[in-house]
Amino acid sequence: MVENISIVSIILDIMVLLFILYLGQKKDDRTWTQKLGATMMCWFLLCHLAMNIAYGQFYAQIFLGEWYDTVTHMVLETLWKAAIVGFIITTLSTPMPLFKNVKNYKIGVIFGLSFALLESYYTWGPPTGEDWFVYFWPFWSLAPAVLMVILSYLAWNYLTSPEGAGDRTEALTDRAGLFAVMALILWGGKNWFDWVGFFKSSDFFYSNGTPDTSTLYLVADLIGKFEIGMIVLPMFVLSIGSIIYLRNRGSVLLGGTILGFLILGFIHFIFFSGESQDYNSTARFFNEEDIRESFILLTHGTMQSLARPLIVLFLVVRFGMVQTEHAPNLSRAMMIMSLAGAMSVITEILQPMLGISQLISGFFLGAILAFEIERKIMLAMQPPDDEENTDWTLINGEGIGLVKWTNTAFGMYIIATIILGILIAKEVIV
Amino acid sequence: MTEEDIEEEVNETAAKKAPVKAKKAATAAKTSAKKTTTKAKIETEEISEKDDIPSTAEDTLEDTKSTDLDPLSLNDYLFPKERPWVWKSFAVMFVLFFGYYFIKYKNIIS
Repeated sequence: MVENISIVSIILDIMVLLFILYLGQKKDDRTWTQKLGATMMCWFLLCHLAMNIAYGQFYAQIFLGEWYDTVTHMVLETLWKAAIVGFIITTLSTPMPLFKNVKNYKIGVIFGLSFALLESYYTWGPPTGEDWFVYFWPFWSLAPAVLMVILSYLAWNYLTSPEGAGDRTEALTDRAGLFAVMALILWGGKNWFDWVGFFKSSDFFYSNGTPDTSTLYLVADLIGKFEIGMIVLPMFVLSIGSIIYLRNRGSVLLGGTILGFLILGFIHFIFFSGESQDYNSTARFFNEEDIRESFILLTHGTMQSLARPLIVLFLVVRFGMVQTEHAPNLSRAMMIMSLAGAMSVITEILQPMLGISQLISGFFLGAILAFEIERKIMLAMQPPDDEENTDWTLINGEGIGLVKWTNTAFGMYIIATIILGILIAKEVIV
Repeated sequence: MTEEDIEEEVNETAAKKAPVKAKKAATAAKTSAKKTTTKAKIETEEISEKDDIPSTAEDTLEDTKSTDLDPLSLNDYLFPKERPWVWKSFAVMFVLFFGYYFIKYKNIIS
């Protein structure tokens, strides 16, 4: 029997998105960096939701062919770009007080979004008809690759740090490092299960075009390869870092989780040939008669669909982007529903592998309620009382205004892409 | 030796030992005081650590509270002075990984 499980992911996305939006409206002592981070996480969830809807449950209803398919593709890509730029902004502000001048920040964001808009024009517009056109897959992959470099370094700095937060710099570095580890898992985690045998697979060295005939081909290929490399490298960096972390601090939870990726990746590589599944089928359709597919779904699939919204939930609560005290009952309900939904999917996947019935997920739900596991998890996610939240005086502007400006810029960018898409699809721009 | 001689000798010995005893007593008092101070210090640390604030970090914490929360300089943040090997080791991993990748890639496209 083949099942489509993306509906669980869609519900998770919507739940966490509404949760952040609701708590984000509350007045409290959050700093502007935390408010900025909360809105950026919303952009990510919106993107994830759109991808789930488009490539999952409602694929047939979304892709109807004709001109609006171009617009749909452009909007989906645009949301990914917004999510990536949003994560870069969050990385550089929420856990890490880096920039001071609002003017420089705005120039950076405008440059990034304009570059992304131009890329849409290049990939979908008139240049595609030219002889010299080279398809970059995707051109904007340079942005997430750079993001992964920054995150990997921050995570390495944190994992190799010998003692806990001793001074302000150390405390903020640790905070940024934890954010970086979670962000790396969110962005690259699903591929780590499939790409342990990176250097053994010819897929990663295959050239998309004929680099000798055109420099543009070579550039496109190098950018694509750099992006692939920057998904795999963090896995090795985090694995070595987690061993050092376990030795220094002895925290099994974080160190063990990271090493778990490596171990499961090796199992996939050794026993199931390590091949990745097609994006549309992995994490979307579940074939319970095939153990290999079940394993891939359990690793790659659950990371892609279930873990991502849950990691966002962790980030917003742990870094104080929202405060759950405003709605304790709602927080509890959401946590129970998230855990129950995730457990239901996982037991469904485990069914053919271990020969156990998916019905036992009811017992897990019972355990969550009986032992109040959701309360313990929510409590563990809360930021420590004495932790410093980054906040600083800006030059040429103020924080709350900057949050509004950033979100307006994102909104305008998406509207501009939709208009551009319609103009391209309707062949107004030729 | 008569009883008087013996008594005299005992008194002399006692007189000789008196300063030594006094010295010992003074040393014992000092040691006791030192022990008390150490014990008090350990207790203070225990209390602080019970509150999840390591005593060694207390001064730092006060400093932290008194800072004006200015953004850190990029150098301090990314290149910790006490661990200069962090960025170097990362750079080595980066170069090794992409170096090997590039060599394999170059062999294929050529």
